[in-house]
Amino acid sequence: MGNNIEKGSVNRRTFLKSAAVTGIAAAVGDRLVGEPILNFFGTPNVIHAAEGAREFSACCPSLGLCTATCPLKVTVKEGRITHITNHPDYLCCTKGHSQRSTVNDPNRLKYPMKRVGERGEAKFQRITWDEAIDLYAGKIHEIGGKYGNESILFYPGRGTMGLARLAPRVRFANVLGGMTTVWGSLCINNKTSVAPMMYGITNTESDLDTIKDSKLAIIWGYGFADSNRRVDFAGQGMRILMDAREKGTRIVVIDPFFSQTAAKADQWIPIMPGTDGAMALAMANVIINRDLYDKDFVARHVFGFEEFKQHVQQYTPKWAAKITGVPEKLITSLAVEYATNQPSAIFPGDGPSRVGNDPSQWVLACGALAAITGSVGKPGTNATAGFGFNKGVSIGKLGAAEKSKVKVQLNECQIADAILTGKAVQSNYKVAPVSIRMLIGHGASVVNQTGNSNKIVKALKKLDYVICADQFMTPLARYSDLLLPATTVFEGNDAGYYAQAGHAVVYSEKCIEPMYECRSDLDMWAAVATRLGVGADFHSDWKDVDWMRETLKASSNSPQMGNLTLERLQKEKVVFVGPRPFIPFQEQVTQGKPFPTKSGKIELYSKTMEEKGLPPLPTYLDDFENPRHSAAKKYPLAICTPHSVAWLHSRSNNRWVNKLYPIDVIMNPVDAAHRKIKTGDNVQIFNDRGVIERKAKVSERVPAGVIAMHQGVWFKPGADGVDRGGGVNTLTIDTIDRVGGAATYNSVVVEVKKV
Amino acid sequence: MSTTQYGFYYDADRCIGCRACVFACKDRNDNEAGESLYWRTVTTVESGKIPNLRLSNQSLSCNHCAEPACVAACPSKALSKRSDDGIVVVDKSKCVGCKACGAACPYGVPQYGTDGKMQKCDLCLDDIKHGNKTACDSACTGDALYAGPLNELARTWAKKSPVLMAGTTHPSLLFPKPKKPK
Repeated sequence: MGNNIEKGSVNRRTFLKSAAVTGIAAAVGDRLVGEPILNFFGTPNVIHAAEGAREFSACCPSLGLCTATCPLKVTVKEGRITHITNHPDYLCCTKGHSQRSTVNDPNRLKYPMKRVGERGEAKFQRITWDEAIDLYAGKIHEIGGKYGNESILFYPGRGTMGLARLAPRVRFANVLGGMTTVWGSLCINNKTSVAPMMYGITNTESDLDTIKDSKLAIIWGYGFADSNRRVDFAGQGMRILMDAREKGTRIVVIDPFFSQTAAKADQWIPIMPGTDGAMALAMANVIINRDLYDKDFVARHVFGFEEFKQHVQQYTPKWAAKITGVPEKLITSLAVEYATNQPSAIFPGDGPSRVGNDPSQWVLACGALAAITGSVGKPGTNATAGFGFNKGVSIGKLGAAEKSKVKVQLNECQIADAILTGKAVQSNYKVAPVSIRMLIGHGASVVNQTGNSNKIVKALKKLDYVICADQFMTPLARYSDLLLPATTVFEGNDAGYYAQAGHAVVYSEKCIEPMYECRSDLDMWAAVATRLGVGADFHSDWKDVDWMRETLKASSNSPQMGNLTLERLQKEKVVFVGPRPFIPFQEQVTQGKPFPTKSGKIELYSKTMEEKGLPPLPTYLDDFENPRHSAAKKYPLAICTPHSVAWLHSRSNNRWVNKLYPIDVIMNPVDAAHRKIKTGDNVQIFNDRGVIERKAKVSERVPAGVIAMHQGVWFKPGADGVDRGGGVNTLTIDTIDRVGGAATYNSVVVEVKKV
Repeated sequence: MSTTQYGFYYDADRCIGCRACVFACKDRNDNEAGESLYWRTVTTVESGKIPNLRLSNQSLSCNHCAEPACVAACPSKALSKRSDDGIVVVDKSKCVGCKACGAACPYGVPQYGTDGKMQKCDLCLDDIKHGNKTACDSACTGDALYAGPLNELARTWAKKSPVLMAGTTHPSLLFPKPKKPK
């Protein structure tokens, strides 16, 4: 067998399927050990097939959180995982390849513990599971009985979003009569709630595959190379992008940080964080005033064009240049190029939508640019940021919503604020009184990943009781009263199905027994529900595969998921659903079907926004922390917080990875010289919310006035309150946008000094 | 020469610096490498000025050179170049840990574990000779890195006019012919 060159395009399974029919699979078997190899992978790496080893097909633990849920090949010997690498047909990124270091980390939580020191001291004492379940159930009973279940915040985090836990994590709280849960998102509601204001639905993003048909692709605040966004598996986005570029698509990346994605573009346009809306609206100004808009498309499909035309007169390129730091000529030329080289596409990412110019006006501005240029519903185009292809995974009635008597929710970004003030913004933006006394977190990074970590610590210290189920002594674990050791994905059955854009559903089979005394979240909920007398109601006897089977059944109304059974998923391990490439609004554009809005057109003027008391037309609101804000007198530098390819938010930042990815304060030579800072100097980066101390890295990868620091590593405050771990949320804020209740991390100013 | 020299094809323009190769290599080989060593490394070098910046990624492990300096420098004959495939291998039982190979290698490839003995990439010998891909090749997310017989790699990538990396030791590393700067 020769060297297989066609990486990515060859599907070894297709070969295996035909091979199995003709009996070839058996012939490659003599070096293989254990059934799963023969059944599934066919040709294992020799070292992986050592005597007594078995191979399993799993899904990266980022399942449910990373949009790429990559299948992995796991080798097990004598009950211990000896190798984890990419599935031979597909690719995974650093996060998948380094998982063994996470699973086998000697610092994993190994048995249940209760707090004996002060909160935050991380002093704990080993207890039995019996005692732990008694405490878990007993505290729900005690605090819920005394103050009502509303006083308990149940927060299963993004670590619990696999197919096997999606339904039970909802049902558990509800069968107990309900507990307070969260709404909004730390993630992408700034896009998904905003896109429908203009396009009527959330699924407004084309599959990235369509870049190959674009003459110009503007990648706006979108780090494919590091974040694997909106693709099936790792590297896919970058391969699509690089292939398209080799075939002639011009790639422009707009980003405050010169990412590996920007490094593969024809042009990088650095921009001041949070000002993307100003640039987009100035581009609309140019396109309209130079009469370059698609008159036919506008006449047929756009509502509110005249109002928009008048409205954007204020947004001149000259005005935008001052705010964005992008030269006036460049704004103009990019606008002209985009309008006159159709099909061209803007692919808006997430970062620019997490800013305070409420409510993600940039998302609407990008949508307006697509609308006026007719860059919608055709190959090579993209409407605006939202969801992409949606598989339609749904838990249906499995959540037992009717059993909950609790009516309030907390915004996910403002948990601390609600605990401290007793007031919580609801999803209708009315404020409701709350009194939270207890927090139950499963795989929840409430300290590390929500804005303003110090404020959350303050709030946690105020609570009567905190339960944390996780794999490590996370920042939340340190402030908990009861610690429950959770299993990794490899210690049970689950599936990755991320709903946003990828077309793959990936089964993750149990590779090893739970390590140490670890238990799955599902086991914990079943035990607590049983202890509280609602075991039958919760379906405590259901195993992970039962929950998956039932969730797939509940999703069978979705045209994409309708035919997918657990049996098929278990057999094939990786199943692709839905037509590809997904390009929304094709029927509207080619067949004249109305857009799913009230007017049947793309609404540049949104009455829904107007009814919410928000600007009806895409508007740049400069009201957030930036160089023009009063806070900038003390803190003149804006910060952006890119993702790292090596870990996913607060997860998988393991020992292998840690060594190669130092968390530095990346700053421009101009800002560094001004502060007499050199690469390698210890610096403090600070604002009113907190202080981080790390090493400086002087680099042109950010423009002057901007600091970059990769997000996700753990908040580790010392006795002096200085976070030497480098959790960027020490500095960020917990304000939310006004449509989706989503985080606005990227509207933050700081100062840096040498120590 | 009748030897079919094995080596790598690496296209830095396609490398996105993700280090999947580094960790795939580590996962496959770390039973020997231990926690703190990496047989393959990726270095990213920044050059230029805003906004005309460049990131040059360089993924590197042993180049299995045609004239390996490490082999010549080894006083205990622990290092050898295999006659049939040109893969440079180390026999740990003969290694005395003198680190002469480390001083001789122009690319800083030899590493020394807690046993003090030299260790490095063996091109996933067991696998590549059985028709499997090397760990790094199998893992590359950017279509940048391939391993195998150099003549096959050169044929496969003919459209990129691959050239051998220059160097006194004649590394078995093919690059696409550098484009003339615009």
